[in-house]
Amino acid sequence: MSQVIEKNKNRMWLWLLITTGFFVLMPLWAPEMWLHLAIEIFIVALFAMSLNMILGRAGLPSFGHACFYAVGGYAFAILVVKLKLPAFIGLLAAPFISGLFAVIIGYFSIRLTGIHFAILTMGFGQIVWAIAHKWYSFTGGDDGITGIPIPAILKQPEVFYYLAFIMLIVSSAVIKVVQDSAFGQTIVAVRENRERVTFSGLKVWHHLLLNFVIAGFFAGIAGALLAMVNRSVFADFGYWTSSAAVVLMCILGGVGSFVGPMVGAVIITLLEHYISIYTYYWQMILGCLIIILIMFMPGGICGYIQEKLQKNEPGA
Amino acid sequence: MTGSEFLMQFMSGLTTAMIYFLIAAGLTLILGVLKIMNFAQGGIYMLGAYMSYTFIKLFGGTNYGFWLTLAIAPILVTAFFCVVEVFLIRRFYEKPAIYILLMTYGVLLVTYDLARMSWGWIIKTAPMPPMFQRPFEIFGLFFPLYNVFLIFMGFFIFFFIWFIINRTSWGKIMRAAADDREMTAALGINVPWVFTAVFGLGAWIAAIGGALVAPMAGLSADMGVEAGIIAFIVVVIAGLGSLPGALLASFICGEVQAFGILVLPELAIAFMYLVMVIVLIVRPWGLFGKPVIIK
Repeated sequence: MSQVIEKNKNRMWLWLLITTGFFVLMPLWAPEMWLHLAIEIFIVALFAMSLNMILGRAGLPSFGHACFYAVGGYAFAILVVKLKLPAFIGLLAAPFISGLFAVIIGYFSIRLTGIHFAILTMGFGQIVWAIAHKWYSFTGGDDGITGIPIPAILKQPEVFYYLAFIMLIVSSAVIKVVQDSAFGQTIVAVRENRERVTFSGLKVWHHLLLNFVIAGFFAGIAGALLAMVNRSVFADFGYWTSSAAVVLMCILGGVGSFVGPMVGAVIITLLEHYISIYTYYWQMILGCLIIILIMFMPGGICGYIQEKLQKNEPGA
Repeated sequence: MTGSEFLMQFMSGLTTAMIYFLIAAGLTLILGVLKIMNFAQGGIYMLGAYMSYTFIKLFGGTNYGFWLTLAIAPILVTAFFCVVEVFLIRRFYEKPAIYILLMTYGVLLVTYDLARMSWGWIIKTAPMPPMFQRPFEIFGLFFPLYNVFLIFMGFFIFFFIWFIINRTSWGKIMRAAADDREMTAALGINVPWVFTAVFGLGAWIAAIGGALVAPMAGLSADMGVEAGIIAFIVVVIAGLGSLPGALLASFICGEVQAFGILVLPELAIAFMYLVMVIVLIVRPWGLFGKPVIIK
């Protein structure tokens, strides 16, 4: 058994090295359009990974996660456009503002589970959306905020590509460390048996809230990056369909695996990009994809692969 | 504000409230009994509206045709969604909530594009049946007769569902199945079909809501997404699964919106959110709901 794990671990490091190498070298040969697509994928992947801290690790179905994404974007835009702060301060501050929102929303919703949690997070997400959508003097209303100034160097796609890539790598490393820590294991324990964790003397509520806030923090980074690359931000980033889309990415990739949400983000972003060229009815295809996925592959792609691998391992 | 202005505003608020109630009542029923969130509810409402548009046109916009449409169109839509329930939703009741949430979202996306494929991108309007093309007079004020009919239908549907749930043996079975699935099954009741029936009833209410709105609103695929979110807000304010709560919540939302528009016209639909914020902060479990706090 330990040999199997050892072998899998080695294989995992090899794959990590290959993919990282591929993405590091990509700007050398890839056309500019691919770089833009890759930047989008990095941002969305980070967003999906932050959701998986709640959805996969804590097992709580959040349907309002896009709210932190939008808050991150708006925080960046407002700090840079209205307060005329430099972009890097905006990028630094945005996740903390998202985290603050997560404290407030988490305070109310984290006591609930299942469908009640989904409804409450979605409700708060929609409130944030409605505020962004209507408060013209502060958030620009449904026109959003456009023409956000960013440093000239970041306007080169290669530079922005590396910025987004480094942000993704650093953030996922931090998320990985958090997940493997005693804290991260406690979150999983709460998912599996809340009562037992309570009786072992741990404050379940504090752990879940902190987990929720960390997830909001990373969603804020993704949102700020998105506002930066588009140089604009709109209320619809935070609409509930945006939350549903990121939930889909996590489920598609597989919530039980660390790379699952990233895989889902890559697939959905690529599909959306290429299918919407050929048809107006992209939503129909997405809907059918969801139905097929949940019917036949509820563990997601990574869950499916893991299952196959386990079957093929001798003695496992 | 004079008395007559107040009355006019009140009546228009009441009309809005009844539309909200018709959209939300089906979801309330589904949430209360099946304990699932059905995102497709807005899509059912939209399909109900489009389907009755087609039938009203087919019957040449007569009075007779209108009543026939009200009988046929919602049933067709309901039948379709019962099939969806049996094949796509039924097997996930006992699984983590996320699967049904995402599944119904997928169904919503499919219905959305189905509607755009079948009825096109241009906004449609169904003709008003001739018998409703006159005003209704109360206290010397003139009010569209159809709106009065809609208000009446809202209350009718409310009492209809209330009666089914609380005063019939079917309702008893539904409540029993909602309360304890296994025990009900042990008594020889086919619980999966009870659930299908409840889902169908919920779908039928949303579809008839759509059919009733068809002659007075522009129909587009987007109305489904909008209706979905309205149903969601009403249900959150009401407390999950409470039918009287849904009626009260719709009433509050409709009236707050009707009178709020006079003061702050730019806010419009955001008034619903305002009500939701207040309720979520003061009573996070809704007006009529029970607290479900887990330590």
